Amino acid sequence: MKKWDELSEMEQWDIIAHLLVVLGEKTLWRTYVKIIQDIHGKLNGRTVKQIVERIRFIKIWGPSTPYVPLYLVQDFHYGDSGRRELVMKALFEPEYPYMFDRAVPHYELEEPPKKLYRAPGSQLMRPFRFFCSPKTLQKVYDPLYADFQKEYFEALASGHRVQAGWIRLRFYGTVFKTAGLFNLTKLAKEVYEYWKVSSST
Amino acid sequence: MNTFPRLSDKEAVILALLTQMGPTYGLDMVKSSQKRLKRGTIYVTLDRMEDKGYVESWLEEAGEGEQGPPRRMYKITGHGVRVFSLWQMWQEAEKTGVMPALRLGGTT
Repeated sequence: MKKWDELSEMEQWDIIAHLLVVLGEKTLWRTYVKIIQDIHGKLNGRTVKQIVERIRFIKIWGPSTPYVPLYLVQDFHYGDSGRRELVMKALFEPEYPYMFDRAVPHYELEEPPKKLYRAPGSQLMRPFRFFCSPKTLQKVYDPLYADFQKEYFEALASGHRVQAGWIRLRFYGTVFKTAGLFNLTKLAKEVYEYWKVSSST
Repeated sequence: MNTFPRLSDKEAVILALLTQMGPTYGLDMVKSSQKRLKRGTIYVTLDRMEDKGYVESWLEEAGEGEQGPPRRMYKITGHGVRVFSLWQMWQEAEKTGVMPALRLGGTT
């Protein structure tokens, strides 16, 4: 876990923005958005601490505090009592930003979940696994499959989806070509063995 | 009787690559071969070469966070090295017209 001062400015900014938004404190958000806009770009640990101290002050004293106008805190609420406990704990811990980050899991859901892709050839390999001998599978088809998967995942990871599609198509072609070649070689070998035996007798 | 080994073009390319690159996997050899090896044929050739004792293979250990099945790594055997160097000598002799046996016993 990082200390507050070890965080980059962007990380600090991100945490404060989420701290305000995730709590659902719309009024507070409106109040502090101006301050945050002002300090955006020149954010430092001291300013952040000041903002957080202010939030904490309001949280402790609530509407009875003379320094905080009532309209700022009247729609101050928590989703449920469990959330409140987490938030309070997060706020009072010295390393609270990351505690808070962990305490509110939906914070993570800003980005849509990544789509899952089926690995190329997983269906195609089934008949091969059934019909081929373990040695052929191990020495010919499995390495081919492993190589193509590596290429495919590399292409996907680098965002080249079209290239990944092309790799998938090429894999199908290569598997059938290999199967044809392997069976031809095997047949030729058997014919040769047969010829050798029959010519010696 | 001719005792020099016969290697197909593909086998010679594979042995040359394995000698240069050290242990590697099939796709890497295809990429380094400048289109002399094909994806569809390399594993059949490697399987045949393993049967002849020119190369040996094992499954690579998967690294942390790696996806997909483990790749098969290949390396040249001692027998493969000997066969390949004999084959190279034979090729050279065919070019120069001087048989290796004569050359070995020749001017020193």
